[in-house]
Amino acid sequence: MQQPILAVKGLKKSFDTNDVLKGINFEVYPGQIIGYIGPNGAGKSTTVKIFLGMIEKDEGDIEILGKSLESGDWDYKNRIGYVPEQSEVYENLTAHEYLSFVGELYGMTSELIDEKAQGLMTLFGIEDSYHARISSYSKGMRQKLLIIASMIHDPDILFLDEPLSGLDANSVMIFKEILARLKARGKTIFYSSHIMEVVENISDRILILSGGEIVADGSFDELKAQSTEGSLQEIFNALTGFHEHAGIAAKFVEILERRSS
Amino acid sequence: MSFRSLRILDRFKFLFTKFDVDYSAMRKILELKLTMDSRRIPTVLKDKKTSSLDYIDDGNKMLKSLWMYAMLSLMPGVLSIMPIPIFGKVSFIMGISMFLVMSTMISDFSSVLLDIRDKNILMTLPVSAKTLSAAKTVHIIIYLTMITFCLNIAPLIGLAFNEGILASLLLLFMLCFMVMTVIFFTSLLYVFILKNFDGEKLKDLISSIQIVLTISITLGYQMIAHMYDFTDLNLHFTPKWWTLLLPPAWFAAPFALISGERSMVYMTLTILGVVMPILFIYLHTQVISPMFEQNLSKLNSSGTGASKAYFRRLKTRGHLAKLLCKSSDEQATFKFGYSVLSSERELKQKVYPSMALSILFPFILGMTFLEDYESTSEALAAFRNSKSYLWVYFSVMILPTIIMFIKNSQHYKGAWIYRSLPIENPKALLSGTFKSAIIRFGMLPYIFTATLMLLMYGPFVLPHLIIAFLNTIYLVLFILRTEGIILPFSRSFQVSQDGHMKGTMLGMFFAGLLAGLHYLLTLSSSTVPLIAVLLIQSIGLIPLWKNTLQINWSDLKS
Repeated sequence: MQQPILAVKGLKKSFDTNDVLKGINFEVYPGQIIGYIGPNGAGKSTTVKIFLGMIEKDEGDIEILGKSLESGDWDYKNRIGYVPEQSEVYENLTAHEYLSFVGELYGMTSELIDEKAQGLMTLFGIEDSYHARISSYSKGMRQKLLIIASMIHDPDILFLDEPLSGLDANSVMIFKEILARLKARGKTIFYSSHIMEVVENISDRILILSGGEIVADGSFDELKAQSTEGSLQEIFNALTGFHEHAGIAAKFVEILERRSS
Repeated sequence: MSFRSLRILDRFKFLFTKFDVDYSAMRKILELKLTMDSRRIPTVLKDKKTSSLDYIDDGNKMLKSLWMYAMLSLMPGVLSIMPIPIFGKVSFIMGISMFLVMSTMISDFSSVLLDIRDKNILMTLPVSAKTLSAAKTVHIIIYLTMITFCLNIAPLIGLAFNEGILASLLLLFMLCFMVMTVIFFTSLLYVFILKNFDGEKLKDLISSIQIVLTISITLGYQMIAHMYDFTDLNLHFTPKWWTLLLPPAWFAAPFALISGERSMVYMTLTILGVVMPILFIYLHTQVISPMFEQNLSKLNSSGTGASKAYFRRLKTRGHLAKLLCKSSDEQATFKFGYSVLSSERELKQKVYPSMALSILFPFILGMTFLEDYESTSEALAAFRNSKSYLWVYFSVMILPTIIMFIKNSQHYKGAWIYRSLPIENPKALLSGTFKSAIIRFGMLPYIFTATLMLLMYGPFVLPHLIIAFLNTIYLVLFILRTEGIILPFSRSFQVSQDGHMKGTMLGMFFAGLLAGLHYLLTLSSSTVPLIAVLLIQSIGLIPLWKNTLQINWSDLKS
């Protein structure tokens, strides 16, 4: 049996009186792409932030890269990449300045950073903007930059929170292929998104988080076998207890049609 | 929300309807724009304490700031009652007023002039282009009328008392022509920049104008006190050919005419003062405005080509980092901090005026020497005999303020990056950014003043200058220890205004105290205490610096 690269046992976290995570358990093995999905506010981003030490957990054990995660640990971040949900960066900087900062703190030399960053940006078709301020970037370019920043040090685990936002269809294809190749090289990818189609077709394993608990865990085929529904979207709706979409939509259109008398 | 300006506008409804403008739509748009403006904070009020909550209250910040503009009019107001010939006097008033109106327009109303957000929203609505442009024009007119009036309220009153009510009315009349000229030149400037550069350059220009405005207002107040010293200046006017090129002279010429000085020059100037603004406004609507609209879309673009200066800066930054920082983490943060500090407009707007003032302070103080002594050489001798080299404290006093500002950024939400990186503790992060701030903003005023003092006094002041600098660094560390440390660039400017005031006050108080102690040191005729202090300070600095910044993630102030 392989060692899990990430193991979570009884993870709990609450903000004030709001219990966001009520005891989460799962294990992730190297070379897996995990689709981590759930409704807004279910605690997906919170989970990832706890893995990165950005938020302290309340209870539970986390093991990353074979070592138990203690508060104050930092060395493991050398082997982790992270794309946050909100693409907030110090946008007055140029891509070169930003990537230099990130890369040098990952212990890379500035020559290597420049070489890798320019190479990667060229492949994404944004090499002309390497020395331009990020504030002049489009949403898609900014996302590409964040993706590069998260991978430039060739990490073993990637935490990607809605990484496709703003990317055009062609870039999405490139990106999915990159993930597949990283996986083939034994990298682990932890992927959160609201776009079910993508999660359905790239993930080896899907975790559905709802109400602070994991309500489903398995490959897409396994989930389909357990359920009467056909698509991940429908399984997701069924598991998160959401059935009213038709009713809400009907009411919405009804209000639109009102006229002042 | 109801606006008085709109109620006045309602009386002219027929005028708009006549020109096919959808009045109720225009009024709605104006109401929205005025509401949005009321939630902006104008430059003249920037120093006041503001919290994010203030945005919710419904008092119009713009209108409240009119009082500040009225205060500014005191400067030309004092001029208006001084016993100098009317042509020179009004030229001066017009000059000041043009400068103030133009710079306020650029610094505070650029968002009105350069509004392209409304295009995205309003162009999708069923409103005619005519109505939209009417709304825009009226919007600008409402503000220009209010600012111009307020910026001239004191001279208007002053002239009425000093030269008669007729002069005051004439001033009001000429101000209208002045405003036309200002509109023309402002839009010409904008078009020129947008056409040749990009939006980023324009934004840089706007923020530099804001800085210039803040500095000149502060200096202007200093000047009011000294203003009466200028009465003996010869303001008798002998026209030269280039006078014809000065718009303030155009607008002042009619005053010479009504006071009885009828000459060809004044006639020509008066004609220019009436004809040129009309020509300007014509050019503005026919040529500049369409060009302006065309280029406005470039506002949010910025060139991708990096300048030579940018690469030069990168290089300097790299050398400085290697020179001043030991670990590679610290070097990385030094470069990062240096870049962020150099590119934050809001930060520069706050820091540059204090930087400029700290450079100018010795000169302002020096003026008192010149006033007290008959000849320049006497003043110089008195200066050399004094302990004025301690003025160097004025130049380092801004360091505590700057350190307080480092926690702020316009893009403070980007601070997540620190925690995602493998950084053991914030020490390197803090040390690197603090060093970059001291170098980026603190060194220039210090080196300038210190060089000046060295030239005036000779090498014996060198230890004093170094002690003053080291003292300030100690002061910074002291403030950091008592106030707690916050991650660099992780707070918005709005939320933490309070902390800045406190930092500035603390900084001033203790800098004064240290300067006082330093003064005691200068009383000793022996150099032994001086050398001892210098030695102790130099030896203690690095351990204390390290010790202060040696903190864990959990020790950071949240």
